[in-house]
Amino acid sequence: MDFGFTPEQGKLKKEICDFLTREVTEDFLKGIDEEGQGELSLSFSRRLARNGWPGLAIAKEYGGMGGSYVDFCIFEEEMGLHNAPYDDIYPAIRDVATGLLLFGSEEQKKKYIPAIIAVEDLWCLGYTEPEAGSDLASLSTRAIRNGDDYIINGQKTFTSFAHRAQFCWLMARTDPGLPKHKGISIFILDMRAPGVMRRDLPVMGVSRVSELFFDNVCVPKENLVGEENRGFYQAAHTLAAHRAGMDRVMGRQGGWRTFREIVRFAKEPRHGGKPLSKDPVVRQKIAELAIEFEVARLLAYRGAWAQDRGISPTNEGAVSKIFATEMQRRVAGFGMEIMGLYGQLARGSKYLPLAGNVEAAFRDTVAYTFAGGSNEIQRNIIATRGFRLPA
Amino acid sequence: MDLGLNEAQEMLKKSAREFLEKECPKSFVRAMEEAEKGYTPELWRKIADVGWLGLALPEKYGGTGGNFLDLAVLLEEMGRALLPGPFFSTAICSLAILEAGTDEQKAEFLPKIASGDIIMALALTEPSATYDASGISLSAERQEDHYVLNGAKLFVNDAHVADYLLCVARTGKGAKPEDGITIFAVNAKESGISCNILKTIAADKQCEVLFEKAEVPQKNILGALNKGWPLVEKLMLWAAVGKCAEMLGQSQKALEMTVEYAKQRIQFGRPIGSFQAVQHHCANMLVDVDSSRFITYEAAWKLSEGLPSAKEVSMAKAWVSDATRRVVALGHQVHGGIGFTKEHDMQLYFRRAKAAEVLFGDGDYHREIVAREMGL
Ligand SMILES: Cc1cc2nc3c(=O)[nH]c(=O)nc-3n(C[C@H](O)[C@H](O)[C@H](O)COP(=O)(O)OP(=O)(O)OC[C@H]3O[C@@H](n4cnc5c(N)ncnc54)[C@H](O)[C@@H]3O)c2cc1C
Repeated sequence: MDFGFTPEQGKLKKEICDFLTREVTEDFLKGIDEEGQGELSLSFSRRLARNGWPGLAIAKEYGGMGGSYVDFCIFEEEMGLHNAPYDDIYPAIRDVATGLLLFGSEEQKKKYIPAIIAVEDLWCLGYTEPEAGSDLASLSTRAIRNGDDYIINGQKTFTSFAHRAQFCWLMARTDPGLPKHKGISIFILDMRAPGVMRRDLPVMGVSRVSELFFDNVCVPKENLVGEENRGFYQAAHTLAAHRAGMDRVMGRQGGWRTFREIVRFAKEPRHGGKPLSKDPVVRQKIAELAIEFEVARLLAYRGAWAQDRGISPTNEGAVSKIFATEMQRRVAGFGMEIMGLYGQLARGSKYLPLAGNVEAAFRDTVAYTFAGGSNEIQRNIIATRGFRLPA
Repeated sequence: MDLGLNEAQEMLKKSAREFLEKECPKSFVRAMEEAEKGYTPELWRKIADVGWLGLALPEKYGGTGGNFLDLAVLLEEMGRALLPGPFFSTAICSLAILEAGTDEQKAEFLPKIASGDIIMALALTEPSATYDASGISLSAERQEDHYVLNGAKLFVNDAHVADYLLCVARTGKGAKPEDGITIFAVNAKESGISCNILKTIAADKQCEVLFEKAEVPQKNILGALNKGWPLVEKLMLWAAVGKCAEMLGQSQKALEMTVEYAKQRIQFGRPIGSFQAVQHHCANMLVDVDSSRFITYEAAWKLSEGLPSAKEVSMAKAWVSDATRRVVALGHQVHGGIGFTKEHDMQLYFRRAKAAEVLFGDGDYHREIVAREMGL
């Protein structure tokens, strides 16, 4: 066993750290938080991409660096530790690039992966529909073959990043005559195609999501990914990779950033003179959360390590996703608790503690335990696929 | 980074699993709970013969030159099998002698430990029941070329069968409670030393050891006079991670028993494992077992590599102590009434997990260390 990094990985970690230390300043973060997902984060992501890091785990022939998933996890960890915006990068790398590498044609890999690594193209993930959330296989968006094209009709919802994406990684039904898991396919859909309509879906958190409507959208048949009607099984692999990501632990809301700020708050002298960090109960709680971060971090590296061994991290991703997202909610909840009355204050308010980050995290982390596949579903996966308990 | 065991460790794990399944069935575990010694010399001999007592000792002292990580792999299997007896105590003490002993002390003790000829126990805690230096009040006073020990030690595993005790004593008073602590290797058969077995939840032979004018020669001081506390801290690190490894083995086994049972037990005409509430209990157990595994081995690896590890060790002991308790509790929930019976093995795991949780610092104790390490 070896929990350390190789000298090359140590060097990589330092390079990434140096870059992020330079780029991700307090001022920059303030801009990011005010803007949400905007031009500031996009230009940052592209500067970062010049170093090739988004493609760390991707083969050189597709523009990647040919490294390992552990290397990539090192990058993700540094991103989290520096609170760097990551939304432009991870959905395309984790779901789309993984899916293309596993199932895509040679042309698709050559065409799309380099642009993903360079953050030239942004992607959104079109899985969920109004009537198909956890029961994804019951989705009803249709793709009907028409000569050299597929014609798409239907609706997606809760689609993150759709407001800026050039492409959508779309799941649609190609054969309604087959059992529900067996008639679904994955497509690459150009968001600029005629017939794509998007509407903002305001949510209580920081995340920004949309509804997508498809009205006779034409998708060329070369944009079918993998085999027709095998899309559900393909998605099982890409979603496993999605859930095994370090961003779940290091996410900007309820991740290292929020935790560090809570610790800083606890150390400040307060009314009565003694800082909260001297209170035995508070100390215990903070230490417990620090331990949980270490656990979550190790579970994420375990997922990467499994991927490096060619394992699709179904169980590993489920365990990591359950643990990390529930921890993030505890982190934000604890922060709110120790801030007492001040915890209620939101961005824009006078007297605002910690720039409103804890309050924002408290709202946003609510979604983490069901977005990306609810934690109940993750537990079902562990039980029925991992332990093979009867369904 | 490599989160798997190496080939030799895999082999060790496999052979340990086979050996313990054969030599340490649950009938043996139960019998040893009742038996006064809590172990059998026959099994002790076999354990020595397979080389486990010298696993982490250099070859020149009769060991096989392994490291602490190897020992953790073995302790995980011992925890899984609930192996009773003085292996843990002896192994931990041997590490201290290897670390701090003089050449003569090493030559005197280590080969005999490796060969199974002497059993050792760590006499650290006292009726004060704390792992802080302030809890050490057993006194050792110099008289010519020896020291005279007076006082009581409590919660000392295996003292009743030990040939030697590593006894943490107070030899002086300094500015801090950590000053003036000295460790002695005490012949347990010396007059003035008496031992009473305590009745404990795990029936794991923790003892009260009374010292009344017990004499120890000066040459049996392990490490430096009055400056023994850093070695106690080191001992605590090994012991805490060792307990984590044992607990990991316990929780892994409790999980496997539970999943197996959920597949077999039929209610309402179907296996209870098909009920989602039960499935989620099992999934929650896995989250705790997996997390325990990696945080335990991270700490073991750091210790093995000689890296600074106080924080990681405390993180592991705090986490695994609580996680194992949760795993066993959920295991009981899934087993229902049958797991509550003494015939069933689950209760053995429940009781052992509690003992391992509190020995060498429970969650609260170690979280406080983490808080201090974080600069709070
Ligand atoms: C902020 C945010 C971002 C998102 N981003 C995207 C995105 O980019 N792309 C995308 O496709 N989707 C996205 N989603 C959608 C997300 O994947 C779904 O919300 C999620 O899969 C759950 O579906 P649902 O909301 O329909 O809940 P439902 O499926 O209706 O579930 C409701 C409750 O029932 C439980 N439940 C359902 N079935 C079972 C079962 N079999 N066993 C036990 N419990 C069950 C669930 O666990 C949950 O607690 C996002 C959602 C949010 C909130």
